[in-house]
Amino acid sequence: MNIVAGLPRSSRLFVLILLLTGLVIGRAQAQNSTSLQQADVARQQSVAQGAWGSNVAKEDDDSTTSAPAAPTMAGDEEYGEQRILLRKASWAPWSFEADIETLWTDNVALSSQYMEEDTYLRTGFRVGYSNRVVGNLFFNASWDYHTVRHNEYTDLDFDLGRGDIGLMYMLPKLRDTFLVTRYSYYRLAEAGFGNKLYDDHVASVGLQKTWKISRGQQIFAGLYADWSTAPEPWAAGRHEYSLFTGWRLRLTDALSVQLSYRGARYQYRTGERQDWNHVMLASASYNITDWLRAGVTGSYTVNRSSGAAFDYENFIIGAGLTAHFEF
Amino acid sequence: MKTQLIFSSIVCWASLSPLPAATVEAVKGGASAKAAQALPPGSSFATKRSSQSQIKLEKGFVRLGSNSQFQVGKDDQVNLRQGVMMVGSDGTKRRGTVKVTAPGYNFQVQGTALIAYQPGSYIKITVLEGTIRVALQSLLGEFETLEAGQMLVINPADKRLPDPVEVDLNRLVTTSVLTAGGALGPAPTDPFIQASASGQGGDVNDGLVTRTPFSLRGASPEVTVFQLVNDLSNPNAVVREKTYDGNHNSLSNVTITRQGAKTQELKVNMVSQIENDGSTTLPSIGGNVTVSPDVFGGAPQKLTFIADDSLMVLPGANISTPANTALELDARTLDIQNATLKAGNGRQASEALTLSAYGTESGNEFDVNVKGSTLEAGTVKMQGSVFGGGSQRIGIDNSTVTAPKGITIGDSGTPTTITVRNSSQLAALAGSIKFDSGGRAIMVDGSTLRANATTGQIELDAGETGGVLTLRNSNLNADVIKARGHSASGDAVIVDGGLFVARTVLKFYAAGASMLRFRGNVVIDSPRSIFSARTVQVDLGGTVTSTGLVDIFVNPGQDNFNKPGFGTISTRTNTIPGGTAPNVIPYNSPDRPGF
Repeated sequence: MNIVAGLPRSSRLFVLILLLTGLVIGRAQAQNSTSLQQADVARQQSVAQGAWGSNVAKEDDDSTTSAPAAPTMAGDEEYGEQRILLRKASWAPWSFEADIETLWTDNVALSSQYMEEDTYLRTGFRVGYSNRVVGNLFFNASWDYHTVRHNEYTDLDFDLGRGDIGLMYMLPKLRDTFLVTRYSYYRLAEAGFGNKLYDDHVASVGLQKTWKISRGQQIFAGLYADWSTAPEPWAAGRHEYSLFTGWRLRLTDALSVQLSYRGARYQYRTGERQDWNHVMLASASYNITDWLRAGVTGSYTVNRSSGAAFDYENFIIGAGLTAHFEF
Repeated sequence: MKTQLIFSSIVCWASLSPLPAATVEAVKGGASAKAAQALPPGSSFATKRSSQSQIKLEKGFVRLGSNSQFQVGKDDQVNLRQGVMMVGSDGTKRRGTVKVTAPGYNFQVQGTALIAYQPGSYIKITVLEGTIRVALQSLLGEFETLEAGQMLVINPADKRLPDPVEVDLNRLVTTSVLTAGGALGPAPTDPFIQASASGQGGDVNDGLVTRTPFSLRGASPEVTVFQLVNDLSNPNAVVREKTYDGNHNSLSNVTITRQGAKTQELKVNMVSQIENDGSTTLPSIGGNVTVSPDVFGGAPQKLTFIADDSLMVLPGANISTPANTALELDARTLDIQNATLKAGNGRQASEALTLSAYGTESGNEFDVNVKGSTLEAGTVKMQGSVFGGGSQRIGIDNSTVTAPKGITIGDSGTPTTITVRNSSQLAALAGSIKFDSGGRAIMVDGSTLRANATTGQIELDAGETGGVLTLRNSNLNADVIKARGHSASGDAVIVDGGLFVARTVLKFYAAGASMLRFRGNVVIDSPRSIFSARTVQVDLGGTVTSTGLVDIFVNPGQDNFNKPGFGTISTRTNTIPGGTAPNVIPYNSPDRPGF
């Protein structure tokens, strides 16, 4: 049963926005294992895809150094002389990423009662710039465009454009916690560069931190507040207050897995609706080459709203490929 | 049926018969097995003194240096026991993997690596070509993949893996006995090794990689680079001086020991090195550099490092001498950053630390540069030299200098600019502090100078016909404080804020037709202070507050304080009933005390 096609335009829009949230969250969390440690998994794809903080993470290496005192052994000199070299650090501030992912969901319309499954294809690209401004202050900007095409419920197809610009500051006195501020613009449109369905300007501030257990194993957590400033239509706008935490393990140079959770409070601008949203995610990614990786993901979302009609549960699994270039 | 039986027999034989996983290919010198002998899984192989061997594995090879040992494990695995070895994997496009283990560690070699293992002390891995994955067995996810040129030195006591450093492959390949130049000849993977070295050399030429003066010799992270060998065989004899000419460009983690007689003074000559590309590598000292107390005999005892060019004491360096032994660094210029220099126990006058520059380096801010460092000795002396043209610059930046018996910077015969800044602390708690710039400028900025409070003196002398003395937001504490500068017409002494505690007397003298200028809030805690200048001025908004009497020798009419447009000089005694205002006395008064 196509439960969407028969809806009036305003209701369809609402469903699409709900879908956008679900898809973005699913996509964002499935995207990249470094994502959760660095950013708001729900709304900031640029962060989720690793641009935010990736430059700082390289400096956040608190691994130990070793200079043991040791006796010499017979044959010691046969090893040879080791003259120490210094290699210039190279930082590529620009990045380009293109991805394609197919996903299955058991609740395509995020409905509380009539759950319908569907598969959909998500494709798109992202261009990012990230660099140090001075000292511990970093600048980030990105533009992202993605399309979502459903197999059955084509009325729910949409295009999403998004721009981010922000600053990130490392706080050494708080054990290298990162303070993030960001402005984002969202534009949701009908499929195929169609009419605008929704747009918003969002201001965000957050704190995020990573604890390294070992070189390839870490726990991360963060707090974010995202304020919707100019939603169009107004009723679809909402503020989000979220926290996230997770665990990431790099099993080999190529293979890593991740478990994470995000909990958020959504306050809609109309004041009539408030939601609690919980997302649990498991993902794995495999680097096929230096620039191409494959990933699989599974997420489970529970949404509880002040309006019972907006309660839903949603399970998504997917697999995809991502090409990533830095220059 | 018969065919089936044959196949079953073959399978059974194959599964039960131990296939030799390794075979000895070559033995130079002595070893526990002969050439062509098979080494089944579980067997060990060891080399003897001055020997090298090569063992063929199913997917690679192992070369062992002298007194080295390993055990052949299952599946082509190499279990390290001790020594120096090269491990390589076969293959061209798709490299095989040789698994290597040491207690607590796993290595996967897809290329060629030099490995040194001293049980309980260290493991050192250097990748010559390809990659090697190093993993800590005890911690999930604690692994790293090293690439060609990268080296890892692991302390088994560490709970995490250290960061790798990059080393010069050309230098390593030409000096290691296990590579092409050794008795075993080129390794099976030698073309790959040469290609990696060549690639790195290209990066050097392209400026992507630069050589540092820091190098290690041999496998051990801490090596005795040389032993003092005196001519006298009597171990109880003492020679007055011994010079060691080892042509050392760098010393790192060195303990100097002795053979033969003792010496009173040991001089270590260090030299700069011309590289193939024409660049010069300056001599340097890094890591822990110490001398066995047994090296020295008689008195006075001294260790001197002499460099033919600028000498760099690298970050983290720790140079020390035994008790009652002085330490001197003598070079064209000295660059000491984030290092520790300690002479003896840092208490006796015999434990002197001397830093001496005999030249200048125009590209550097200072010729004796002590930054972020700790100097500790009975006495500390820093000086330039007229033999190098004079005009050296001494800088102490964010450093601590502790010398109970006294600190001397500069001398009257050598014009030397002196700068102490950025929270530096100089303490001579049983003696005095003297800056003598030989007529050049002196600057003390945001720092603390502390001499003995009852007998010590702080004397900062930019000369009677010399340079400007500037004291800014600094804290000076002594029995007597004397500060003098000179200018033909402008500011000779500038005191900009700060606290001055002098138990007996404080003197600020501006020589020449010049000015003693105060700015900011200056606090003086002394029973008597003497200001002497043709012009004494307190800039508007500034205050000079003294707890005791202040005598000001100044040209009449050029007392620019305590009147409109200028700041104030007040004594605490004249701010209470019965107190005394500063005494303003003509500059030419015969009562003016000498500096």
